[in-house]
Amino acid sequence: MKIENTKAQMRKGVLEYCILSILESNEAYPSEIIEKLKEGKLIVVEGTLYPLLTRLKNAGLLKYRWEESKSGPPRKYYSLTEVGVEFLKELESTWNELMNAVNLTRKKNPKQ
Amino acid sequence: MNKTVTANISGVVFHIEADAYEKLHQYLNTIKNYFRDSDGTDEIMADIEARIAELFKERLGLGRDVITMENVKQVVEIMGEPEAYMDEESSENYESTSKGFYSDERNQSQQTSFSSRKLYRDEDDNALGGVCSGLGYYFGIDRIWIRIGFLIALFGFGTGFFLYLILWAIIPKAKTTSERLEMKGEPINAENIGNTIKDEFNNFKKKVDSKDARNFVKKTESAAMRFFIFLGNVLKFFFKFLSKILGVAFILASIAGIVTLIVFVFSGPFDMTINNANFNHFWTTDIAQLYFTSKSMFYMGLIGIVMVVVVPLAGTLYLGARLLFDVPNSNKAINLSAISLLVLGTIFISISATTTAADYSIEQRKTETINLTELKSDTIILKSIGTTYSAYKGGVEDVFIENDEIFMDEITVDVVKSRSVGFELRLKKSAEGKSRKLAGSRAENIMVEFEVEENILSISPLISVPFADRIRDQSVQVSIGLPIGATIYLSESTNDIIYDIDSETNMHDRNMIGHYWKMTEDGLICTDCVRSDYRKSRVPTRFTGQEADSFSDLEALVGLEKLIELKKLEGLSKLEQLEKLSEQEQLKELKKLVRLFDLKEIEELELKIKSNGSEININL
Repeated sequence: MKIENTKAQMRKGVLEYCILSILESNEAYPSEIIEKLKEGKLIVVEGTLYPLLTRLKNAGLLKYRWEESKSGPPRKYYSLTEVGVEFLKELESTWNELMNAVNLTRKKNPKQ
Repeated sequence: MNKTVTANISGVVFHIEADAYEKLHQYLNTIKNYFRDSDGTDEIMADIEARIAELFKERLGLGRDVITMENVKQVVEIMGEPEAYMDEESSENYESTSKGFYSDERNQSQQTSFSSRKLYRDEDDNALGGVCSGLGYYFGIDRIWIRIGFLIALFGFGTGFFLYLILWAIIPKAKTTSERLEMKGEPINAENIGNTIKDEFNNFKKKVDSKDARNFVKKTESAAMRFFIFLGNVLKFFFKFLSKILGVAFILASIAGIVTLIVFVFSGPFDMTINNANFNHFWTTDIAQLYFTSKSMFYMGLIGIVMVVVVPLAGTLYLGARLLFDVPNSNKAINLSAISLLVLGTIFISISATTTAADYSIEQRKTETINLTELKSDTIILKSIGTTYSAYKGGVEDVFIENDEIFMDEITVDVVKSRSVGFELRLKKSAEGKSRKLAGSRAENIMVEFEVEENILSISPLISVPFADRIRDQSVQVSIGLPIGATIYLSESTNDIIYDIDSETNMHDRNMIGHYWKMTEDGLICTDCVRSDYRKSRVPTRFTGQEADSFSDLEALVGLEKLIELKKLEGLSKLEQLEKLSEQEQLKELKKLVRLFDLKEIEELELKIKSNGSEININL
């Protein structure tokens, strides 16, 4: 059992939730998402994000529109689809449940 | 100053330094390869490229138009190596059933450890079929040693060659990434696959420009084209194989040539006995130059030969090396110097050769006769005194210098009828020079050493000439004149000097040694030869006697005693008749008789005669 695998699995679940959360209030293009994720130190390298976005989009949770950019190629602005909104809600409640569960477990099992 | 490449990244044009472009290109290829099995590869790539374009744009400020290696490195750092994506992506493979990249290998690698290697052919790093390379990985040694081993085995009746062909046929080629890793014995995990793929792309990048590759793909779309390309590949492979064999042959041949040249220059071509380590250092002594008009002419010729020979040898070596390995093209300077070496060498050789040849152009002979009045006995013994010279080895052509004189074994001794009443020596001396006068004086300068002591005549097998005369084909024919009735004994030591002595039985020189020979009106006859001596003389296994034109010839061919026995077989009566005939007719009849038998039959008959116990004496 490698710690790296466990950490990766944990981060991966949270990462999807976070991306959807970022897009909940307003649309964003990848660089913006990256900025926020970097602040939270959820991702280290940007390359990770693109396959993830593509996968979420293919799963029907995200949609995007093109917008011309002055400083480079046109940008993809991502936003949630209805399915995405539903999905996010599910995740939110799951997250809260998990938080409670984790907190509860940690309280019951103080540091030994 | 750096060369730049123009690249279109996500619709934006960038000027990128060539090496930076290379790195970026490889990086993108590596990523692409990572995602090749997942859905939406193109989309992911487009997104990544778009982001890269954006990042580049940010980095190009005022007065900066070109993307440098530094920029590319920064971008790669920001975007991350694909291995880093794996971290995040990998979890997906555990929980979902979606098709992940290399998930199979990954899971496998966690269940079983690939500590053992598998034998594959490595066609990425091949000289021929990648057998040696694969074996190298398998045994964990550098493939060069395996290759050398095969080359050496090539000499063992070509076993190396056949072994290689067999291994080529039976060992599978490492096709997939995991096979390549198994071959190298590295555990199969994402990181290693990543490294391997990267290596692969680096190699691939070196070989083909992406543009060519794209064109290639387009071309292969047609089935007919595909067939021709297949055919082309087969041919290409065949020619590659052929060229490798040629390359090995060229290299071996040129190495052999160079070794020969070195031995030739430093040891000299004559009198080399390698087993007994007896190198005469022919060139490095004064002897070689004696064949030339001067020392400088000799060296000029030698250097000329080396120059002329070295160029094609070096060329062959280079060609072989080019066929086998990646050797850069020869440049102009090398070509020019090779040509000038050839030209200069040819000039040297021709100068040396023409001046030298001129000094051999005219031959002169001088004859002198010496009366050997000291010899009183009518039986003399001929000896050779050559063995007293330590440097003289005898048998082969031999030349050496002692006390400013050149000694050569250019003497032949014959025994003939004397023109006077006593013993005499006739010396026919000959030499060459560029003029009649010079050749003549050289001939006169030849010294023949001989001694007379009581009834022993000793002749040296060596003639000597003054050093200044140099070696100009000097030779002496010695004829020992024997008065009729006198006898000469050829001692064993004369083997080196006697040459083509005529005798009545035409016996071979070698067989005449150790016998007494009496001079008669008809020539030399042996006085102490027995039957076995004649047997030694040349008798063809099937003789016809047709070549004979005299009794003695016939005797020589058949052997005297056999002739007698033949006559016995035919019976006395016939022989009596024979005696009535003239000599010519007798000869004719005898020839007929001889023709009837071959040697074997004669021997059988001989036995018959012996068992009969008949003792018949017949005089010819």
